[in-house]
Amino acid sequence: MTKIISIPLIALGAILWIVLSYISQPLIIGEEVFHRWNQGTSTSYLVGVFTFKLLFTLVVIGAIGGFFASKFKHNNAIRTLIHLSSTIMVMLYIYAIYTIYD
Amino acid sequence: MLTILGKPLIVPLLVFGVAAAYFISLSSTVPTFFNVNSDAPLFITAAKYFRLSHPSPGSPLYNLINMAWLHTLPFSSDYFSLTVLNALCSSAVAAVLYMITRSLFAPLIWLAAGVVVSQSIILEQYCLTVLFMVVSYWCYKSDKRSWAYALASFGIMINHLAGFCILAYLINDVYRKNSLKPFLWSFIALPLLAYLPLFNRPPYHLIEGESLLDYYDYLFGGHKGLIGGLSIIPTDDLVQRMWEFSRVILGGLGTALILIALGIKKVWKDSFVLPLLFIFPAVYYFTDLDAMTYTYTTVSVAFGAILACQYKWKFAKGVCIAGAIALIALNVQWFDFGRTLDHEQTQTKWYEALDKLPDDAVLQVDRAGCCAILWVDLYNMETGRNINNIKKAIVDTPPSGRGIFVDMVRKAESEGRLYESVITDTDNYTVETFKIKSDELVQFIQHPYAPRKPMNEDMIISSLGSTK
Repeated sequence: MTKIISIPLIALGAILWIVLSYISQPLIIGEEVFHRWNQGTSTSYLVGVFTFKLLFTLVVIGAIGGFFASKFKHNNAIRTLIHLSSTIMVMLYIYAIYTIYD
Repeated sequence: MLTILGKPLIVPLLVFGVAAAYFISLSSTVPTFFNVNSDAPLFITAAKYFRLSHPSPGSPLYNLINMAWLHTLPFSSDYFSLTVLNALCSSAVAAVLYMITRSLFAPLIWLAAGVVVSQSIILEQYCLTVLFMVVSYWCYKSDKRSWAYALASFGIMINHLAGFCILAYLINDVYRKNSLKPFLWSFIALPLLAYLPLFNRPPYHLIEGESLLDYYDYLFGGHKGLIGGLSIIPTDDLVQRMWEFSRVILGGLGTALILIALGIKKVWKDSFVLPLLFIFPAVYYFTDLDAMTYTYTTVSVAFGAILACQYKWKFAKGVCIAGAIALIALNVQWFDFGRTLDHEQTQTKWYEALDKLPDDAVLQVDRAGCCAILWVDLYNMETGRNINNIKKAIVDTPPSGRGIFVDMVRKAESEGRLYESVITDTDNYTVETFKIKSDELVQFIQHPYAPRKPMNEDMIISSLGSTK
């Protein structure tokens, strides 16, 4: 049954693949992106960039901090130290980004 | 019979030959604005005039290879000669993909992906980077981990994307509790960075001087807003990037994505390396500020092709092969430089318009595409002329010191030597050069970071002719 459904789906996917390739051609030859280079200069754009970097950094530092904290499940002092240093790293990062875009 | 690692070499050689014929026949013979060919002037300048090129991180190995190629095997123009080298590197990737997977499916996916074709037929560094990465992965897979780390290290000296290999190997080795001694080979290529101070001399390119701060700015300054810099507030850019990402990845890999997903599921328990090398570059592009970095997904295509061969499903594979062959045929129609792409050779015609400018002309090019400034620098070096391109100096000067540029353009206007090159037709990259009045340019000097508006026709004094 799965095979009966999947075979036409894959064949349809192949047609979609060619259609999407056709649609992506103007992007790939650069027509759509070549002139957008200068757009990254308005204030609202920089605010958006800052927000993304902040969220991205929170996730990365949170994941690394969480990983190491999980290795010390029974040592509250070390866990607190890891959480504290993660928080300081995030604050330092925010300050660094702020100085870059100031 | 010729063999490599005990396997016959005839099929890989055939794959290389067919791929080379395919890519070289589509290649651009003259400089072009198409396919975001933005780094070409830098690489020609570096190879021909022994200078620095793109700061990622300086591409020392790539520049040295280009220099050796250009000075020992010169043919046709510098641009075409180096483009052929790039096409041969891409063909070598196809052959290595066959050797790793022992299946024609992988090279077919590589040849069919639009993003791969676009970067294989111009002067760019991504194909050679991918070549180092896939060979490095091959070594890792064959348990030659020291070689794998070392090759990835040399890959970084072409483009920093090869660093993903080291990252993926390291994550895998740490998780699997493998010895980390081979990781030390990651530092073997660092001496190549001596290229930077050795070849850094005036006229400077993408670097302001020779102080430590200049090198810091060169290596890290330009990228500080790029990596992870996608604007998500307002959400317009995020939505646009999602649409572009979908087209590049789905249009490039198509139904092979099903096999890739199944392949990831199959290999994940044994090794993270292949899945990570497929995912990392795609995520990097998705989160990058610069929309032109879709070119990074060439790495994902190569490792996606290997992943797709890990799962055996005859029907899906057959459909993918048929789709890839159809796409290769369509690519010949979509990406053939000189026939279907850039048949008006707009970059060459723009250079011809520059010949009409006086030697002491002041030329503004910030509305002529992001690489126009680099093409003007190369033009000056090729012709020995000194057309003054002021954009970079304006951006690098604090607002209080920009008065000298206002005086300069006012004086140039009064003497009739103030010009601007502007893209007037984005579909064909038609670039026109105008003799202009200074008012709009003065506004730009005072606020160089404000978004540029379309050119005000009242500012035009006369036209030097379009690139059509």
